[in-house]
Amino acid sequence: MCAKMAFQHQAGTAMECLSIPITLHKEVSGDQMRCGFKIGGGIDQDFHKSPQGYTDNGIYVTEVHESSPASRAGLRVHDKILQCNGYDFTMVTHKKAVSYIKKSPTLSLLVARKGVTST
Amino acid sequence: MSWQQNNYMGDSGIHSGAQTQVPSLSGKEDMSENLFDLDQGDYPGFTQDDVDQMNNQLNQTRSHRVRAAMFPETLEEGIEIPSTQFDPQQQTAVQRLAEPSQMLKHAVVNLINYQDDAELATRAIPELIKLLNDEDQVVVSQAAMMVHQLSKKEASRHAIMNSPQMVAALVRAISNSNDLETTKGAVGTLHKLSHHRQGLLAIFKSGGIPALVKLLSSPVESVLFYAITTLHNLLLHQDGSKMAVRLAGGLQKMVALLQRNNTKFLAIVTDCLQILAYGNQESKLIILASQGPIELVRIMRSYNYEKLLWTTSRVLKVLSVCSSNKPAIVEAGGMQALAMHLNSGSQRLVQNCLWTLRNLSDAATKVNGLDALLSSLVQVLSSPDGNVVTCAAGILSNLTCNNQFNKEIVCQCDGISALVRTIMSAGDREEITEPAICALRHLTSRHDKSELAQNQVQRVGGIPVIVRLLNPPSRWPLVKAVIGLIRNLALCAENFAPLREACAINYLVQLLMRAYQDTQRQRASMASGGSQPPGTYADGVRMEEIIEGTVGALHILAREWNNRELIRQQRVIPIFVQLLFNDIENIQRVAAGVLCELATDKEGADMIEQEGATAPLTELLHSRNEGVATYAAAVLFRMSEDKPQDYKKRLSMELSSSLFREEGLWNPDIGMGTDFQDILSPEQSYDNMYAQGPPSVHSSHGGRPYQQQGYDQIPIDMQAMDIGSGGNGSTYATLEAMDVTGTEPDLNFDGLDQLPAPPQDNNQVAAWYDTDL
Repeated sequence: MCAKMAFQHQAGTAMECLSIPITLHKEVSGDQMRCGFKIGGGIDQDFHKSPQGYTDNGIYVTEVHESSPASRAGLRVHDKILQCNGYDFTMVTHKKAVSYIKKSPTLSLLVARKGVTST
Repeated sequence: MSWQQNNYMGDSGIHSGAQTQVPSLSGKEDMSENLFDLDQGDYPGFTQDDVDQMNNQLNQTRSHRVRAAMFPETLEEGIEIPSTQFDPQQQTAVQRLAEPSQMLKHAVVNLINYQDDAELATRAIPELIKLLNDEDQVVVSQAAMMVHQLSKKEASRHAIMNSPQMVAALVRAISNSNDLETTKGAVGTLHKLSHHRQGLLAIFKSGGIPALVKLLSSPVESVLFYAITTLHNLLLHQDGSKMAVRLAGGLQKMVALLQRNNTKFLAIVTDCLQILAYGNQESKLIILASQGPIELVRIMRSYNYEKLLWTTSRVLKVLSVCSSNKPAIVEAGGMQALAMHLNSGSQRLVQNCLWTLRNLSDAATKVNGLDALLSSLVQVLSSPDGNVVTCAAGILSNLTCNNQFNKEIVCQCDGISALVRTIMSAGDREEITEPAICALRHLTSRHDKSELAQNQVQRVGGIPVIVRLLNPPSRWPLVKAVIGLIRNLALCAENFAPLREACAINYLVQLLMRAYQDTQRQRASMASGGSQPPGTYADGVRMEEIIEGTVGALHILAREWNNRELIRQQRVIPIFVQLLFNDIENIQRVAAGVLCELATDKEGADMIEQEGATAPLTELLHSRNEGVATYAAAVLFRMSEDKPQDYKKRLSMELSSSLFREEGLWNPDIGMGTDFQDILSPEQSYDNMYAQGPPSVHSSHGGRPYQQQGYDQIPIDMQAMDIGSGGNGSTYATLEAMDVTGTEPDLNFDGLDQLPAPPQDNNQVAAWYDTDL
């Protein structure tokens, strides 16, 4: 049940699921901060069109660059970000998610991962 | 107090307080003059005695007369005061005094009362606050009722809203009390305060919104009504209220209230929903999740109160630009429900229904049972209102796209003639001609009655008007649509001559040459290190699409002998041959197709051969595209007619080896018939350039649902909300300028390097993209 909910979640409805906490310290160079991952999705995107075949409007990690802060923090491709620094990520627009991630030098993430937090 | 008696018609407006005006007293000076004349008058025909007596009498009754004018209520009944009016044309001074003096008296009385109220309230407020915070519920309830009474008088109302502690105490009473009388009194007071800007601010600052939202679950009608009207006033006039209502979960509660059946109440609820959803994607999704579309469609179906239908259609309009809500509304029968009102006498209702229908129409192309809608739309095309016609044509265009059933219905109710008439009277107004042309394009292909439709266009005199639209000032999207329509019209043999006489061939060739030159220039600049993206865009149309369209149309036109001769004269064959080298398969196919027709005549075959077509055509025999290969084979075959026998034999072997690759599609003995093109061209779907299917040449223009080209942008409705009679709607109207969808990025991603920029403030679902962080 939980497994299904985490990855086929109807944005805005209550959900309970296991999650992995991840702390990511960004790489700071000058006034640039780098996380080293890509996100896709959001309630303004059509997940049916995602080449990865995601099944809901969540925010997903679509790429983790090698030896980047993200890979060191243990973030994996296809992780679904549930929360970032306390902000809910299950019902955000893509732009909002990007702005939350860009906000601070350290990210406290909660992610759901297929096969780990669910089957 | 019941809802109806409460006259909420006044709720939406802000009534400015203290409108006490000083009455004009401009009669004063004349008065003394006239009195003087009367007293001192030396009139002929009267002796001095007479005059003295008259003056005495007048003096005796003067005070009576003045009193009668100023304080009529003090007179004893039955007393007759002689009038001094001798000239019926001219009022006496005292008579003229009567009205202004009455007004002055009222003003003074009001002023005295007002001051009393204000002082009383100011003195009583600290005491009432204390009572409202009392532990005894009975005390609180009594206090709340007293405050409510006070709030009914203007002066004391001002005193209440000037006291933040008082407003806070009222909000607290609402939040904490379970006592009905307390709640009623407190929310009744807030409702009164909500008619004033200052009151709205006070409620907002005291955290009144969550408390009011909570009351939306109240089973007591009066409480519910007070709460929703107060929230409505807040949403209309108080900044920040929308966010607060959303955060307090107001949307879910309001959607739940849609199941009630008081039409005036529903009108307020739907208007609140519209304000909340406008320009806010998350609100739209919440309404969807709460089953809003089903309820809204039910309202459209079940009631006939104009205001309610209008406010509901506005919510549906706002939701209809959200791609998640769209299918839900369609599925709930929204198309049919909105269609019920197209014949309404209310212009604003009709317009909103049409806008909504147009927004929905690209999601409803698979819906059947829209007969009534389609025939209403055909009727509406003759409306004198340009907006209405634009919408109707746009909806017809979308609904006839790839839906054979709808196409036939529109044809049956003589949509063809109506559309041609619409195009004739629209002149240069492309917002009308473009969708109308697209609708005709859909109606003239791929259904059982399409040939009748093609013929009908000609019979009502449409061809010259349509062909003329190939020329300036038409912009490329319209030109492209017209090209497609002409291609369809050419499928009907009876149209060959009228099309030729309207110079369709000349214009098509001109367009082809221009587009071809543009693409060649583009290629040259790319080769010399230019960094422009492939394809030349003009108004969102790629020149490759124009090439494909014009060549495709010429291909069909070239079925006729006279047309072929005309095409040969236009010196366009070299371009056709060059296009065989084009890297877009569809362009290769239409080029091979038109050459195939032209090769029917010996002159044509010779010209093609002289242009060196043999090599590329032989190459194309191996094309993956069966259409291309088949046409190429046919051209080669026709060119070989007068060749020696051994050449023909070699060609035949070449053709067999390349075309029998798979399932023996090609047989030189068949396929040369006149239906040749029709076997090959069904996949050439001009039909879906506007619609869901991917167009043969991708561009930001083709393949997109019609409404995304900015049809969302038209429904900016500056009409003020006038549910309340005394409403001051101006703030409301200005709020509306927000739901305009930004320019839509290309939805058809051809490659990763063409990824569009993320949409900015865009409430349409974009396809999918990543952001690198």
